[in-house]
Amino acid sequence: MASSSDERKLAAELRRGSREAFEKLLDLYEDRVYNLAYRMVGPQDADDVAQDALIEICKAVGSFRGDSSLSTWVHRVTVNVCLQHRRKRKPEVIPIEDELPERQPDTKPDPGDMALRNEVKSRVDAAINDLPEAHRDVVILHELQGLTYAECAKVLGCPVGTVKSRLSNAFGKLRELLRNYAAEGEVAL
Amino acid sequence: MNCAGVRDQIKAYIDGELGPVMRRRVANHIASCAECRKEMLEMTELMNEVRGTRVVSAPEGLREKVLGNLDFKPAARKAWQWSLLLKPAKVAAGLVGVMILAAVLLPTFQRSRGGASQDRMAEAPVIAKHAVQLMPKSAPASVEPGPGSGYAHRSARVAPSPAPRQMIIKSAEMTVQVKSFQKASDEATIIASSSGGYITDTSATSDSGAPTDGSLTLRVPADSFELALHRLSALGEVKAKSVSGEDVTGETVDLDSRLRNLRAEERQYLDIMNRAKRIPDVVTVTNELSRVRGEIEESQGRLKYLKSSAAMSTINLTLTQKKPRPVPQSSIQKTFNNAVGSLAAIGNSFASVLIWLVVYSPFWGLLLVIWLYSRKHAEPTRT
Repeated sequence: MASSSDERKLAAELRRGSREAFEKLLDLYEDRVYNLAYRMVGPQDADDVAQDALIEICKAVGSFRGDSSLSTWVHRVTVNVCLQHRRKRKPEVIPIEDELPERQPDTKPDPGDMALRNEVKSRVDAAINDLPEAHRDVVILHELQGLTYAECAKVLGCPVGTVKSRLSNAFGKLRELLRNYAAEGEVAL
Repeated sequence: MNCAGVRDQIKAYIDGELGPVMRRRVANHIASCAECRKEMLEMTELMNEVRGTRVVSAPEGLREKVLGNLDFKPAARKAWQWSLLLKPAKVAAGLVGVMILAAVLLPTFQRSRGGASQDRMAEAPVIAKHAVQLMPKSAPASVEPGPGSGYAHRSARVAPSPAPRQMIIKSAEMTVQVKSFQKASDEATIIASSSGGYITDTSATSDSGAPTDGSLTLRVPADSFELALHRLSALGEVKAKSVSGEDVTGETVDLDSRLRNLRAEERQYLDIMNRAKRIPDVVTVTNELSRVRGEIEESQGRLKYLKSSAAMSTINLTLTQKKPRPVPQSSIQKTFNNAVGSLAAIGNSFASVLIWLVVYSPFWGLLLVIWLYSRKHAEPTRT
């Protein structure tokens, strides 16, 4: 991960509009942005959303003032693009609170989810994917993208306490889901 | 603090995200509550599984799509240069023309304007240099956008790039003798998770029953490497330790610049492709493009591998459980122990005999009845 002085230098180069700097930015964040989009919106839309997010990052980098780290800022822009995409795809947004229902109502098999399950062949991957969106987002940001609680809070625009409780609940839910998969697997056998 | 309260905090405790007061309270509770300790271990294992899930890499072509949407397209003058690039004969002719013109005109200028034209004299070699650069198949290292492109103007103002950051692939081998393998292995798992890392491999062997020896492979962020080693050393007695580091800064820098050059070359070929009219030109450029892209992928793959290896350090930890050693004894103590042992053995023998007697009691009873009967019937014959 780039140090803060490296990040400041890169941000300055980006503001000057150097193509080399944009390529460096892509070297650093292309995979992380794609991974985040892949997890947040699913494999079928990941290419388009990651592309939109990266273009947005390159175009808006002039507004990056260095209040947070460049990595946090990149994550925030990407998360916003992903959330916009979700809103467009699914107009009826389920209000997300810390106390979430046991199971989201829309549990009918989603082809994307099934594709992901078949593709990764991993119960943990499938369980992460089956988490309610608010829980999934914190798990992706903290566990897979390596952000701290404070950085997750900045990216998601919520208090640190919310990140903490969502993560704790998310892991409780993950454990439950994995237990269910194991039971289903035994039944199938 | 009760168990329910602690369980709400366990995730943040492992992540190192609790304040000092809460951390102490949770630690105190966990030290005394086996159930919560089990809960913490389960949580740590699940975190390892989640962090070990596959990271998806960006698909090929995403970068080009992004860069293609940004506003640093080559300016109009560049198009003129690339149209020339397709026709090397014209370039050569132009170059000769420029040289002749310069040779004829420069002395005239010099005579008429004296020393004032010194700067302009320098232009001839500059023009010649650009003309050489415009030749196709120019060495990748010298490939740069032409002087007319907006991008070149902007990049000319860029400050010299900073000294490269050190990239070191760190790894360690460590053997620790511990009192309890199971406990130490659990502790190591927690250390990996709380450092932001995970366990990739585990193996354990046992003589009989619970495992006594084994090894774990930890992957921890490079920044936490030293701290994780220090915490692992505290698991028991360190029997062997070796730390190695491979400095790949040079290779990374080389790969970075090679990638930059290859991408510049790729851009040039794409530009040529857009302007190519003849099929043989298109075929030639396509072949070159696929070669360049192959090299880009190869360099990118190696660079990604080096960066990820440097970002996460590997620790191979071997844990061996201490075997209980016999305590040295004095001769009096030995005699005493032997006497106690012998007494216990005699006691055991008596107890065994007693057990046999009790278990076979119906048989003894039967024998007694037979004996009494035979005695009763035998007496009259004697009289």
